[in-house]
This record gives sequence, structure tokens and C-alpha cells, in this order.
Amino acid sequence: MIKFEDITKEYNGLAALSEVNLEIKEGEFLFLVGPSGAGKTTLIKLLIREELPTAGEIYYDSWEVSQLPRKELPRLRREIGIVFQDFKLLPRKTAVENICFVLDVVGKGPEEQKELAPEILKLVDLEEQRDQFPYQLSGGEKQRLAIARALAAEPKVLIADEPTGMIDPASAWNVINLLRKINELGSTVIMATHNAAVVDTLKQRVVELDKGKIIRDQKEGEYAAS
Amino acid sequence: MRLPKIFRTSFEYIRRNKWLTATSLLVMTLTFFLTSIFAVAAFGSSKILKELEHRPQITAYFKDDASEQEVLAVKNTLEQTGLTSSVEYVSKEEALTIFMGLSQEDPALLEGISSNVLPASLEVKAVNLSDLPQLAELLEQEPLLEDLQFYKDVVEKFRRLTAAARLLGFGLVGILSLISLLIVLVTIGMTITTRGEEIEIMRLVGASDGQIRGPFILQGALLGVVSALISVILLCLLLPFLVPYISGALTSIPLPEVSPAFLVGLLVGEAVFGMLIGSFGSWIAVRKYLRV
Repeated sequence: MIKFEDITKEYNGLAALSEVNLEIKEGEFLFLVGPSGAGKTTLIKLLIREELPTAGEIYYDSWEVSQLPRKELPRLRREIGIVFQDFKLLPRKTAVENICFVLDVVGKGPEEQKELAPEILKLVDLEEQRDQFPYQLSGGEKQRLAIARALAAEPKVLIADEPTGMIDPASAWNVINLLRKINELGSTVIMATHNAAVVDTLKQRVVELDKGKIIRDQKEGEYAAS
Repeated sequence: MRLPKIFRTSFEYIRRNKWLTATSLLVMTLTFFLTSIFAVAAFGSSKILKELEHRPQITAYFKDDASEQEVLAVKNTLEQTGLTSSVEYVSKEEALTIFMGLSQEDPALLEGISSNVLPASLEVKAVNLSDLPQLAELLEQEPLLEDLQFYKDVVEKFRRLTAAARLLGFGLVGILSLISLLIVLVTIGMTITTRGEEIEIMRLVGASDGQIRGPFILQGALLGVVSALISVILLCLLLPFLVPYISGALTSIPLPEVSPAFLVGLLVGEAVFGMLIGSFGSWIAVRKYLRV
């Protein structure tokens, strides 16, 4: 489903990723681990073409992502939902409006939006916060809203960049359970994280990056190499 | 995005940037107002020019002893050249009637005046102004001719003046249009900068260029249409004060009426132009934020 082939990404001559090869199958749950600056976020940015690779090819289904015409980008991005490290919620829209915005983008009419948005909020347990603005939400609530928004477009792949990084442990487990549920419902989930406890508990595929290279790719792996 | 939604988003953008919007509205209105003034001036002067062209361009006064037959013979000669559009004979008696009409306010002038004092004349209009010298030459060869008044210079002078004014107007309007475009660019650009993060997020969750650009382009178009509307309303309010002032300066020429049809045409033209400038400006401004 997703394939990185000999991917190198340089910023001003410094390699953030070098010759990365990675294949992710449909329905997988994958942890991306590694120290800060290892290249996890860069890898995600390349997949949704927020950045272009310096060399190599990235395939999503039959699309070669870096060759994709600009016009097709929205389609790619609707298939790959992202939960950003910094949430990237629309600050001047309420929780329910943040969801509706994405529903609108994917072409749902006002009636459908009215029907779907509360359901999606319920899924992440935010029904009561529907009319609050992002600044009125706690870290965990923001994180769940970000996930809800990513889910609104019914993506085939959900990428979560450090979804537990900015929230307390209890909230973190809520978020993780949510991601697992989404994975069980059939979506591919990629999660970049520093949270060793989560990785060790879930026993899923682990890909470890260091200095822009994949140093470990382990089925049912743990956070630290054993 | 559906149309009502685009409108709603547009109005939201305008509301959040009141002062910037007001500034660009002001500059665009000013541009359109000046355009309107020049358009009215161009419309008026072309009417005046037509009026002047309809007046006799050569008046040939004949000597006292020239008989009506002799003058009519000259008229005939002129008409046979095929260069004239009309040649009119004004007899001594008719000249007196005209003179008395003009001098009614001043009875002293009328004392002791009889038809004998005033000369008979021919009023000549040419089809083409450029043929006037040829006609004048023909008349000057006439031994019965007393005096020749040649209006060509007046018409030509006015024509040149009009052309210069029009050129100046076009230049000025052109420069102002450019300034308007830049102001729209800056306004919308600033609106967009304050929303740059939002645009980026929109792109990342899969909004298409059109979905993002729509409301901004509409905002620019609205700005253009509204300023065109204001400027024409302003013009309509000012015209009644301007017209007497100008007609006071141009005594002998009747000032042409500015018709409602002309004003409507002006409004439509400016609104379309404003819409184009506004949406083009927005399109350019958004373009650079859509790179993600």
C-alpha cells in the first residue's frame, strides 16, 4: 500500500533521511520510533507531499507521490488522515466546525454534516465540547479532536505524529485505544512516538529511525532494541 | 464548496479585516470616481465636438452690391464640388432678424439699423473638415466676397484639446487602476497572511485550491463591485452641482445631457472592471500561499 524506495531528503545539504526503504501493508499498525531529529516527521511529510524527496520514489497504491500532479494532491490527502504533533486545529472554529470543515472538503452536504459531525465527536468522546474553541480544550481533548478531524475524511491510512507527546498519561491511553479501534476497523495506522510504554504494551511492528536511516524493522517489536 | 458557504466565508474575511477592507474600498472608489468623471467629460466633449462640427464651418460675407442671384450662383458652384454637406444662404433681411434677436437686451444697438447695414452670407459645412481649406480657397477667388470667417481652427483646437484630455484621462485612470490592483493585493495578502496557518491546514486536510481560493476571490470581486457602485452614486449626487458650473464657463455651447442610460452603462462597466481587478488581485495574492 505504501512504499518508500531509496528515499533521501536533504535540507541545505544535510540529510534528514538517507536511502530509506520501507513498505507498509494495508491494515497494519506500525510504530515509528527513534530520537528527536531521527527523521520520523520528515517521513510523514514526504508521504503527504508536504515536502518533496531529494531522491527516491514514494508509492501510495498506484500513485507515485512525488510525481502526483498538484490537482490530485487533495485526493491523496483525503485518503491519508494526519494527526499532527501540534494538532493544527483551525483556531477560529469550534470543535464541531473543525469537523464540519473537513466533511465539507470531502464533499458532504450541510445535512450530512449535521448528521455525521456529532457521531464523529461521540467516537472520540467530545460530544459535550462540541461548541468549544480549541483554546478552551485540554491537551487530551485537542488531541482527540485532531484524531476526530482526521477520521472525518474516512481515510484509508491514519498517521499520528507523537499523539501522546503533549498530553497526560491517562489521556494518552484513551488516544491509543482510539487508534487501535480505528486499526481494527480496517484503517492502516502509523504512529510516530517516544512513548516506550505504549510501544511495549501493544506489541506491533516497530520501525526505528536514527540519523535518517532505518536501523530496525521488527514484527511485534518493543520500543528499545532487545 | 457551495455558493452560500463561499459568501459566508467571504463576509467573515471582510468582517475580520475591517480597516484593511475600508482602505482598499476607499482607494478603489477613488479610482472609479475619477474614471467616472473622465468618462463623463469624454462623453460630454464628444457631444460638444459633434455640436461644433454641425455649426457652419465657413461663413462667407458678401459685398453690399452682390445680388441674391450672384450669391446663389456662388452657392451653386460650391455645391457642385461635392465637398459640402450643406450651403445655406442668409439674406440681408434674415441677418437682421438674427441680429435683432441677439441684441434684444440692448435697444441702443438696434437704433438706426436697417437690413442694408448687414451683409448677405453663405454658411458652408464640409463633409470632411479636411476639405475646408479647398472650399475657402474657392470662395476667396470670388470678387464679390467681402470677408471670410473660418471656423476650422476653433473646431480643430477643440478636437486636439479633447484628444489630449482623453489621453491624460486614460493615463491617469490606468495608473489608478494599477494602484487599485496593488492595494487589493496588499489587502487580501494581509488577510491571507493572518490566515496563512489556516490555509496551510486546509491544504493538509485535503482542501483543493478552489475551495481555499473561492472566498478570497469573491472578497476581491465584492470589493470591486461595491466601490464601483459607490463611485457612480457619488457621481450622480455631484452632477447636479457640476453641470451649472461648467455651463457657466461655456456660454454659447449647450451642455449635453448626461443620460441615465450612460450612467447605467458606466456602472456596469466599472462593476465588471472592479470585479476583474478584485478577483485577479486575490488570485495572485492567494497563489503564493498555496504552495504546500
